[in-house]
Amino acid sequence: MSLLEVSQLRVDAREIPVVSEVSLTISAGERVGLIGESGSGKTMAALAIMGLLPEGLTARGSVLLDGVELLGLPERRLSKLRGSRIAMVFQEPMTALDPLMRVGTQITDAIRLHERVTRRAARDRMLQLMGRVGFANAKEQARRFPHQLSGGQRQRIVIAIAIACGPALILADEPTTALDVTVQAQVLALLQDLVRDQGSALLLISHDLAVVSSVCQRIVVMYGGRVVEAAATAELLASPRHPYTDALLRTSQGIGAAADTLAGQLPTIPGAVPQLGLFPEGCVFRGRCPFEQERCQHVPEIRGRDHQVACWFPLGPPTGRPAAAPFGQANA
Amino acid sequence: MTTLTAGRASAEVPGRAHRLWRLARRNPSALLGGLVVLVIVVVAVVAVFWTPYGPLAVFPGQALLGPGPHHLLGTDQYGRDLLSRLMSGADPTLLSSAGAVLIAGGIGIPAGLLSASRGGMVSELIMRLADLIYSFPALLAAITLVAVFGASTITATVAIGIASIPAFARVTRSASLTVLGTDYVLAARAYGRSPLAILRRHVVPNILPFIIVQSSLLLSVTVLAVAALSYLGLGTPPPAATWGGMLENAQNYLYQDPLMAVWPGLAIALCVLGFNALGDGLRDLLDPTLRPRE
Repeated sequence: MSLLEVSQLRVDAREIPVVSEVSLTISAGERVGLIGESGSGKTMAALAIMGLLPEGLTARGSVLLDGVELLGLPERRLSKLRGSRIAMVFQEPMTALDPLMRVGTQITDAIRLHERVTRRAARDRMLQLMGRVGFANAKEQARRFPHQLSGGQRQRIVIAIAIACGPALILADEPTTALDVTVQAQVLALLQDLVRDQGSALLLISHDLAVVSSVCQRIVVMYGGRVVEAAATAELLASPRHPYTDALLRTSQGIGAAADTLAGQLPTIPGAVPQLGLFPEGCVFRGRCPFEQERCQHVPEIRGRDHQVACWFPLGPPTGRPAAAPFGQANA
Repeated sequence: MTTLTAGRASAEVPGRAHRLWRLARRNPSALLGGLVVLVIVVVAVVAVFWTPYGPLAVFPGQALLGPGPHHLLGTDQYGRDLLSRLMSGADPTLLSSAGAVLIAGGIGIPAGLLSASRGGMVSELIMRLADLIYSFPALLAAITLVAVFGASTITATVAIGIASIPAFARVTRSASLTVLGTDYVLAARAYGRSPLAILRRHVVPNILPFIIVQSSLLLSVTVLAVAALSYLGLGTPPPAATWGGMLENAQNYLYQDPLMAVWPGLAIALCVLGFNALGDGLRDLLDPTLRPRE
């Protein structure tokens, strides 16, 4: 049985769908990347899994954790699971810690919420955790308040809180986006190590393909609130089947090549992500897709077993590069 | 720029006096208000044990004296020492206004917290109830209460306290809503804190500055209200000395002895001003958006 089984998840803001028909499974210990541009619904999908959707947003479908349905579970039971079975690391470390509480206390609190341990034992665990996330003199640093720490240090505290009770699944929503580039790699490596040591599963949410592909075994691509493609990392990078994934890969791979091949022009995806609620009917990538045809007015179902894709005209067979029309050229 | 460097330098020398001095320069309002309040509180405490004469002691031969060596502020129409009465009048004023703020906070703060955390029907109900109290004239409510229970310090305190509940409920609610919307509350929920624990551990500590400021500002209002009620004879009954009562009494002798009305008026004004300045100053000090970076 998989650890997390999301099926047909749908999140609505009043009548406007934010996330539609998202299905996703994560096995114990697996590291999965969820990638998409801003506005593609990846954060909302994560919050829906945690049961932490902001007021006014409703989730439908099914979210099974260890076979237990989380959607509609009463808050009291949910808060027992949060932190102990499923935890989340947020994007903004500057605001994710209570400014009036010493960082050590915030970690100790997280431990004592889920485990009946003495104050002293929790404190020892906290110091140990701070050591593990890379604080050299944990005893002294634990007494500090959030504003006395740097962004990278704070994010490491947030991570320490997330792993405090050894959750089976950690959702990390853009955990390195708000950090300096020099610190990003450190924090990412730390997260990866901790997850591996503990045997936790990881859902890494990011818009950065490089970040996701370096950490995750499998990648799920979202666009317009839908999953458009999902496959093992190597497979997805080598032979993307959805035109959007293909375009995304070209933009990130093209940067290095831009200088010589494209006369200094950065590759882009034509058009912009439509506003929420203004996505075209049928395939969400319609209008920006170079391969668009009449059939694309109907929503393509996601198909395939190991390499899933939601497209009427997927690119080439999974092996070998398809002879796709390059972007920027008018298609017939 | 120079003040900044000076602040830095003095920060290396910790010490009460130094910190007080820095505070005074940064916020004279808080310091001045604090000093006035401190003086009044000290006078009130001293008055419990000692006043120049008994506040109720009558000296028939020395009625309506102006300020002089024996009676510093003079005497009233019965020959009672005005300074002694003024000092002992600080007691019911402070006790009553503080009691009213305690009642208002004791009911208003939990109501505001409940309203902010529950939302929906409960929230609406609480806030409309607050509106109802707010729209009902406080004086009318006080008169009604006095009519039922009789004039006393306690009646006045309760009346003012009830009338002040909405002030606390509203401030608490709006501040709590801000805190409840922060990322750290979301993060706390994500590691499994229950809604009640979030209120206790995150919301209450973070709204405390607002509560303190509101209390101080409200104290200035309740001091005035207590004085008004005793002026109207709805508060602490005579012959006990109250500032409002002294003012009412002096009204009849405005032509013979105008100074008699000045002393209690000055005391009330100073007290209101003190609490107001303190609250204002505290707001500037505790509001992180107004605080200069250190």
